[in-house]
Amino acid sequence: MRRELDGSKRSSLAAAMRELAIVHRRDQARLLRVACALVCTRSRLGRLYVAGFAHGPRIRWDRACAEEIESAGADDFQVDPLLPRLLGLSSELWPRATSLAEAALALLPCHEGRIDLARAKIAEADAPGAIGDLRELLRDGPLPDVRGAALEALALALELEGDSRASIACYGAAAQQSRSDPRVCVALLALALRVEDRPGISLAARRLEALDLTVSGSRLRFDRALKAARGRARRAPRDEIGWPILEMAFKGSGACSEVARGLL
Amino acid sequence: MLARLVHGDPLGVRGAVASRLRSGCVLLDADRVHLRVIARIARSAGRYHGRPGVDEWVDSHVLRILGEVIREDHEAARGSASIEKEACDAFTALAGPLGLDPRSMRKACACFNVLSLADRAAFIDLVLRNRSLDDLARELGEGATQIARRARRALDVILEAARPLAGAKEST
Repeated sequence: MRRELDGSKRSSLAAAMRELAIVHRRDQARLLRVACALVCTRSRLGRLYVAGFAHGPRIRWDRACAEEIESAGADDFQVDPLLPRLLGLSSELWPRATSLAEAALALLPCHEGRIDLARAKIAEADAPGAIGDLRELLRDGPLPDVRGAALEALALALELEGDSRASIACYGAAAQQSRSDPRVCVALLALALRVEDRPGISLAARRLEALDLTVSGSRLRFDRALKAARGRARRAPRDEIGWPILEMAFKGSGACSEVARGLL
Repeated sequence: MLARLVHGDPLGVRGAVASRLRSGCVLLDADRVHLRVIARIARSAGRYHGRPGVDEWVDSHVLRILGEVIREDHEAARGSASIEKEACDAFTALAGPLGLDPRSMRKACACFNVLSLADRAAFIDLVLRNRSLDDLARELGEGATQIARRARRALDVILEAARPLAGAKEST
């Protein structure tokens, strides 16, 4: 009986160690993806055409990375060789964003990692590559929150490629996912106003009407989204300011009016 | 620390996992979830300084791991990665009555776990817990037809998700 119990305890502990290995791989993959996000912010395309790619300050990343390296060492688990290299290095000398995203995917293949690789490709001016990857991911049927993020990333890539109609369709689909971030509607409204897409304007306006900008978190996120939308508008060929923009700027109200005025 | 958490259950993790599986109406291998939670707790214990209270802290890990495992299984079911036989043993009891093999059942549960809570709850109450439809309708204050439809939707998802592997089983 004791031998059986010992055998059972050993197999439970072995199974727990396998799960601990998964925990370490997940944590290391997340660190690489955050590093990828930090590198994306260094490029102008990354600042304008990549959204929803969470990262904090470099110092927080350093702390988390050092902790994971120490913890994995104590548990006798492998550490991805990139992590100790990144830790001691200025982020300006870090590898390309796509290399970091690919390393993360090698550790932990997942839908979110594939979105991050597409974001990295956008930041590196490979919009066609990102578009292909994101379309393939959407065909794989991701969960709703991942689907929303993929649609937004695809919309931005299509906007970068100059395919405004397809971009608006993706923004619209992303905006209709539950718990969609208001920045999606800001991007949709800005683009729809520029190309005079009435259904896109209506959809975005309906959603933004309810946005309360007096809430401090909302104001900060809205301003950031509007700044990026204005930056994208400045990169596009400049046509005459159309009537929809003027109408929204001077007859509209709230967030919608601010978006339109930002395009003048 | 991991060994202590595995062999005893000083933090009541098993109970927390069972409670969330029941209230969330999800079909998962409870042992796998339990072991992943204690692995995560062992990994993060150094950062815990007493706030929030330990029960709330454990529960937050359980919720996080549930989300993680449901997402992993969903993505695995959609991909081409094969599932190890040992990972499917927990699904044997559920698979038999539905005429499925454990591997098919695991894939079917992955699809089931991303349905709405209402659909999952109806299936679990009517099919797995064998509760009476009339009792359930009275308890929820809803029409019996509506509840039955939800359970049927969930059953259809399970059978549809398991079909290709079920076909392969029949041919062997």
